This record gives sequence, C-alpha cells and structure tokens, in this order.
Amino acid sequence: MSLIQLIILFFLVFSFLMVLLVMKGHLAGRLFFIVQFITGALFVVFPDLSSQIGRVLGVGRGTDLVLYFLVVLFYMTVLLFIAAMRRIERRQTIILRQLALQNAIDNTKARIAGRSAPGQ
Amino acid sequence: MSPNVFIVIPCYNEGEVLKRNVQELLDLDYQVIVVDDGSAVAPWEQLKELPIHFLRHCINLGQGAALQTGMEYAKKLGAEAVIHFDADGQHSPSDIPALISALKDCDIALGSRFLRREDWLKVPFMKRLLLRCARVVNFVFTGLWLSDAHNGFRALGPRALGCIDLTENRMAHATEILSQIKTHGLSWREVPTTICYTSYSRQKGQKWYNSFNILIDLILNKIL
Repeated sequence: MSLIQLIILFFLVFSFLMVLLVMKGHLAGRLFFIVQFITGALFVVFPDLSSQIGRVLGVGRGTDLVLYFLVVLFYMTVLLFIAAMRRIERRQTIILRQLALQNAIDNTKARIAGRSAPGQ
Repeated sequence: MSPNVFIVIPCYNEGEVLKRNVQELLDLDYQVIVVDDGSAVAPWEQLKELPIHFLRHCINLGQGAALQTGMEYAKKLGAEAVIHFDADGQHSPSDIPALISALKDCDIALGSRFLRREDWLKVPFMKRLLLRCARVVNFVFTGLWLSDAHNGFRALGPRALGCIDLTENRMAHATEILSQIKTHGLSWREVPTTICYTSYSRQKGQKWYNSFNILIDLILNKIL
C-alpha cells in the first residue's frame, strides 16, 4: 500500500467517524455516509476498481467516473442544504413573529385620550 | 364602517410617505395595523402620535412575512376582515369600500389594475408586459386566471383569514395566496382598483429583474 492511500484512508475514516457522531438519530443520513465510506475506501484500496466499473458503465477512465459522481453528489448536497436553510428560515420566522406579536403596541387609546382631553 | 375591518400595512424603510398614508386611512376611520419589517430606523418615532397598532420584526423577513404577522395580530383582535395595503402610497383608500363590499359574496377580493381602461393606462408599458407574463406564471402554478398579478391590494374575509397562512416570506407570497385560494376552495372576485405610481413608489417598488427571483422562490417552494 502506497503512502497516498494511507493518507486518504486516514482522512476518510476520520471524517466518517465525525459524520456518524454529528448525525445522531438520522438513520437515512448515516446509511448514506456509510455507503459512501465503503465505496470510497474500496476505491482507495483497489485503485483499478473504479476503472473496471467505469468500463462497465461506458465511461473511459475510472477518474472520470469518480468526477461525474462527485458533480452529482455536490449538487445533491447543495440542494439538501438549501432545503435545510428554508426549514430554519421558516422556524426563524415563527420565532420572530411571536416576538413581534408579544411586543405589539396598541396605540389606539391615544385617540380616545386625545379626544377626552380637549386641552391637548 | 364595520368595526372589525383592519388595514394591514407592511413597511420597510419608508419615509414620510408612510405617516401621510396612515393618517389618510385614519381620517376615513379605518383601524390600522402597521407592521415594520425590520427597517433600519424604526418608524415608530414618526407614528407614535397616531392611534394605530404597531408591530415590528426585529430583522427584515420580507413582505409576505410581515403580512402574515399583521393578519395573525388582527385575528387576535377579532378581525372579521383584513385589507392588505401598500405603504408606498400606490393604493388609493377610496377603493377600500368596494373591496369590503365585494366580501359579501366571496371569501377574498383581489384588486386589479386591468379591469378598467383608465386604470391600466396608468401602468407603464414594460410593467404591463411583465404583469401579463406574471399572470401566465400564476396560472401555471395555481390554476387561477386573473387579469392582474402581484397587485398587493386585497381584502380577506373571515373564511380566508382562517385558512390563509403565508410561508413565502418574500414577494412570492402573492402567488402563494392564489394557490391557497385554490387548495382551500375559497371563493374570490376581482375588484377594479386604481394605482398611483409616484417616483417614490417606483423607486421602492419591484424591479423587473426581481421577477426571476420570485419565479425561483416559487419553484423551490414546489419541490422543497
């Protein structure tokens, strides 16, 4: 095993453990990353594997295959993040709305007060 | 005048115009709820002598969010109807009675600039073109074929108030209202309203390129 394989494997394992820790209670998310980790680790340990799969899928080189998957994965991640942001925005709106409602100023009495005090 | 009609005015960084418009509505004996959507300088200072209800978002959320806040507050006050009114002086208070009386036979009355020739002649040509496209977009997304799109002047009766819940914080709420009319099976009518474009309102109003943003918001809301 060459040095680069060891380095990449180390970072893979590290980020894999981090993700599993962060995604507590998200079974779907954890499964998604477990599959990703296994695929990644296999590609690192058996460099020819990506080329073989690439040939089966009609892509010339293994690196191309990995790049294509990366692009798709990247867009999926961005989309998931946007969805998450919108959920947060919705919650934020609810909180701020409650705050606004609680601090509402009812100034309608001002008119009545003004009318009852003709001196003003 | 029915005591339980409230005029909701969302505002964001409005100047003197706001006070003038609110005063005009108060002179006509309407109950006014001003929702400040996180303006840099809170307009409360210039409004505090006026007998109004005042709410403030501490950060800017968008016009849709401000309208929803105003409506929820109005519901707490026992409102039977709510009018959405622009802060920049584009809408004419003299159209309000027509909107309110339209509520007698429908749940929601929508203002339209395109029902009377003298009204639509006031709309600048490019804006007219854009609004024509926007109503096609509205039709695609909601199935409602209207003569106008994104006219912020509308009246909601008790049934509409009960079920309309705006989640689009920004300008796409105008289309969201239409799709909720459809989902909840609310009856609606268009009412001719005049529009008054001043240099101030044009400067404050929507830029044409922002319509792309609205379109993207709509698509995102459909899929996410």
